[in-house]
Amino acid sequence: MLSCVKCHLPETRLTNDDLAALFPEWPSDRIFQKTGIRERRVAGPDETAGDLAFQAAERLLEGRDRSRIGFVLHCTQSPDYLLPTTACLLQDRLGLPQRCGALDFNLGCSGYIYGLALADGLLRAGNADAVLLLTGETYTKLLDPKDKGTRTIFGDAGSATLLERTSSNTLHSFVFGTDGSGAEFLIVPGSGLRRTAGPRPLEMNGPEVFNFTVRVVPPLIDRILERARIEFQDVDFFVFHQANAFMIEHLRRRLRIPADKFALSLEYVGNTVSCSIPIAIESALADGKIRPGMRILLAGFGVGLSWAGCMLDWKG
Amino acid sequence: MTETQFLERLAEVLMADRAIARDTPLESLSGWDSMGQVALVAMLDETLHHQLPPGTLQGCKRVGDIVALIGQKLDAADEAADSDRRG
Repeated sequence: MLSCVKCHLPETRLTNDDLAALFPEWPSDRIFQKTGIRERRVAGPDETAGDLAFQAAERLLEGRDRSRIGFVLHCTQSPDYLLPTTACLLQDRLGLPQRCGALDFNLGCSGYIYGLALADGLLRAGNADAVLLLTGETYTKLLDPKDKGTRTIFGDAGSATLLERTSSNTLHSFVFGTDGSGAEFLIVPGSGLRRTAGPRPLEMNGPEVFNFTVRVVPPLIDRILERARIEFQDVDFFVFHQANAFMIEHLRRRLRIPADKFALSLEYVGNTVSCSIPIAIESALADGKIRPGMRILLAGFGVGLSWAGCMLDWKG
Repeated sequence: MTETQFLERLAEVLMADRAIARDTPLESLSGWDSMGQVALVAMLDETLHHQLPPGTLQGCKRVGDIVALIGQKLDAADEAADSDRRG
C-alpha cells in the first residue's frame, strides 16, 4: 500500500538562541534539554500549509504518472481557506486528473495515521488505484508571539505519501481513539464560527497533553500488537508522533523500547504536527533505520484529543 | 518511595534551591512552569506508575496538593513516621 514518502520544510529557521534572546528566563540549553529541539522551520508570511503540501507533493510526483492518482487527501488544521477545500486547489495545482476525488480532513498529531487508514480503505474498496495523502501545517501562524511554551515546540512542514494498490508495503492492525472531553487542552479559541471567545492564539496545556499521552499511548501500543497478533519484541522499529523529545523519550523508556528501534527526528524541525510521522519515516528510510523485512509500529496522539496507530510491514 | 524521598525528588524536578515541605507554595518555585509540570508528570509516571486524572494539576497550589494526589502510592510506613513527627 505505502509506496513512497517525501517531505518539505520552509526556509526560515528559528533557533534556540533566537528564542532565548526573546525569553531570557529560558536559556537555549534549557530549551534543548527540555524539548530535544535545536531549531524549527517557520513558513513565510505568504506561505501556506497548502504551499508546503504542494512542494512535498511535487518532490514525490517528479517522474511519476500523475494520471494514476484517483484520490487526494489533505490533512491540515491551518487551511488556506475555510472554503474551498485545500485538497481541491491542490488537485489543480498538481495537475492531477479531474476524475480524482479530493478532500481535507481536520486532525493534528494523530492525523497522519487517520489519513493512512482512509487511503487504505479507498484502495481496499477499489475506489482508487493510487491515493496521494498530503499533510500541511503552519501552526506557527496560530501562536502567540509571547508564548514561549508553544514557540519552542512547533514548526511548520508539509508531507506527501503515495499509497498504491500494487505496493507490497502493507498497512494493517489500525487502532483508533478519541476523547473530546480534553478539547480545551489544545485549542485555538474563536478560530471557527463558534465565537464565544473571540479570535485568540493557540492555547496548549502542555502538562495536560503530556499527562494524556502517558495514559493512552501504552494501551494503544498493546491494542495494536493484539490486533497484529505479534509480540512486542517482534516490532523492528517504532515511529511515534514527534511531540517533543522529552515526552517521547519518556514513553520510550516506560515502554522499554530500545533506543536503536525508536525514531527521534525533531531536533532540527520541532513538532510538525501531522507532518512529524512522515518526516520521521523519510529520515529513517534515508538513514537505513527502516529496511526491507521490517515490521514498523506507527502511533500518533494529540489535539482532539485524538490518537491512532497501526503496523507497517516494509518490504522495500 | 517514602514521602521524604518524594519531596526530595520533587524539589529536584521543580529546581527548588531549598528543601520543600507540604506547605510550600508552588508559585514560589522557579521550576513550577509548564516545563516543570511536564517533568512532574514524567516523574510520577516513572517512579510511581501514577497517571493523574485530567485537569488535576491546575488545582495544585501547594506542594501538599501534589502529595495528596498520589498519597496512597507513597510508602505507608513513612506516612506514619511523618504523622508521629507532626505529632
